Amino acid sequence: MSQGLAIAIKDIKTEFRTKEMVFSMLVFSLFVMVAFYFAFYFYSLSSEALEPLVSPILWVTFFFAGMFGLLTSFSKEKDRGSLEGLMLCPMDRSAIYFGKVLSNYFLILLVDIFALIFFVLFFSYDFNGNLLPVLVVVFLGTFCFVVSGTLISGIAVNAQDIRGVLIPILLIPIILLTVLMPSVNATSKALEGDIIDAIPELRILGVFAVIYIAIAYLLFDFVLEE
Amino acid sequence: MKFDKRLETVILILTVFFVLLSIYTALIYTPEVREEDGWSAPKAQKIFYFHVPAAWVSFLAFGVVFIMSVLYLKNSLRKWDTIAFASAEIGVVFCTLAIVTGPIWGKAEWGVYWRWEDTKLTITFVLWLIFLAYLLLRGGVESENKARLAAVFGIIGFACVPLSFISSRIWQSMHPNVVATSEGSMSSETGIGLLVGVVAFSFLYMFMLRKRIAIQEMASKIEDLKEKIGGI
Amino acid sequence: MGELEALYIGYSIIWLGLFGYLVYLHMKQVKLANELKLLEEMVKKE
Repeated sequence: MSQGLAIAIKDIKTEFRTKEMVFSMLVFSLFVMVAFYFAFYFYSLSSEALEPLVSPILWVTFFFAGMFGLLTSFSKEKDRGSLEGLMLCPMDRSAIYFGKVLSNYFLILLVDIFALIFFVLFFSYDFNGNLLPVLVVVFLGTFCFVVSGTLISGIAVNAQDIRGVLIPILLIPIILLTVLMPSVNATSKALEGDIIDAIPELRILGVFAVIYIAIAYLLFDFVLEE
Repeated sequence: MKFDKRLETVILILTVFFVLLSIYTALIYTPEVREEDGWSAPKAQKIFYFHVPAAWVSFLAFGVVFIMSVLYLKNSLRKWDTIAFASAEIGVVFCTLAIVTGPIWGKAEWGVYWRWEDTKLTITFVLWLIFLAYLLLRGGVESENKARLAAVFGIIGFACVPLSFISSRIWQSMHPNVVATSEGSMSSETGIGLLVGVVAFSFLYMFMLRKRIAIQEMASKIEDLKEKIGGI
Repeated sequence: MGELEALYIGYSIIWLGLFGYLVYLHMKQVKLANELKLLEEMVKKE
């Protein structure tokens, strides 16, 4: 576990040295928000009309920005050949996975929070004190997304030419029912003020986070092996 | 070798026999369902005898992919991988047929093409997406460990679908469970018709699987020979 | 779309689909068998 932490810290450090990835993710999430804003511009949505759209807009932004982040999580090292170096280290392969999960989680959460701020600014939305329950859902949903996404990203990085397309293609069907739907539903319920109502969805997210971690722990060796 | 040839003949004969029998049972033997039993389109209901078996056989095929993927990761014998690939492709064919015929029947029976609130439909659709992605993964990866990656993805994909089905059943929150009108009013003739359809499609699946595996083996033999010639 | 039409369309999709896939498999098999034969002859000559 400490090895995983070391990898995560190394990743985050290199990321913040250049900041290119986190910066482009932030800009990307800003653009998605802008796109949503102008897509709904015609209807000049009132706050009641906006209500059912809040959680879908948020999660679509989170997922696309997050997928953008997952794209480079292994490919940088794969292209530089330093993944082999990492694999030669005398440690469990799954430590690489857990390290990547931690660093991806950190980056994507950061982007999520900025996306939330962009959303509030663009749609002049007021959370009415429901921000905390929404954040709980965002933290858990993003965790589940990262846990599955890192595994898929490790698989897709091996397809040299179509890597960029393959991550969404592989990831979206997997997370549709297991992450996307529970997250959106739970957020909608949290926005209505009662986090207790959202417990079934949160439980689903928790269960699937555990399942994906278990699968990754069991199978990640096979993904990296050459 | 001789046994293999004979087995193939037996499977072929059984396939042809059961396919013909299934067409007979579906069109002639099974009585038309009655509108009193809640069917709004009794004639179109005959699609059911092939639509449901297609869906079942596709689940069977995806299950085989899962098992073969596990076996492949255990001892990395090439034959498990070949079977998994072949089964995935055939499963996608059957699943596509089930998904395409579903809305045609659904439009006649329910008046709508698709019901997203029906768990069965949603799960089938997601499985179809997952195994399309599986085939794309196999097409896109050129590296040595393609088979291993595909096996890992096959396991993730097949594992997460039944689990999400179970979770939605237990907590009843994601989908309200609308039971299609097909259950409850199934007479014994309908059951027999369905059974014959399932048996026919299962044999068809076996026949296709053997053919697909033979093709895959030939293709890898050609690869080996080409390498040999190139090496000289 | 009438009921019978739905039935006809559904049946033709199922059987044309299955038959088409079988024909595709068969053609692929024949093509590969020819290629294999050719290659094997080449190997023998050498």
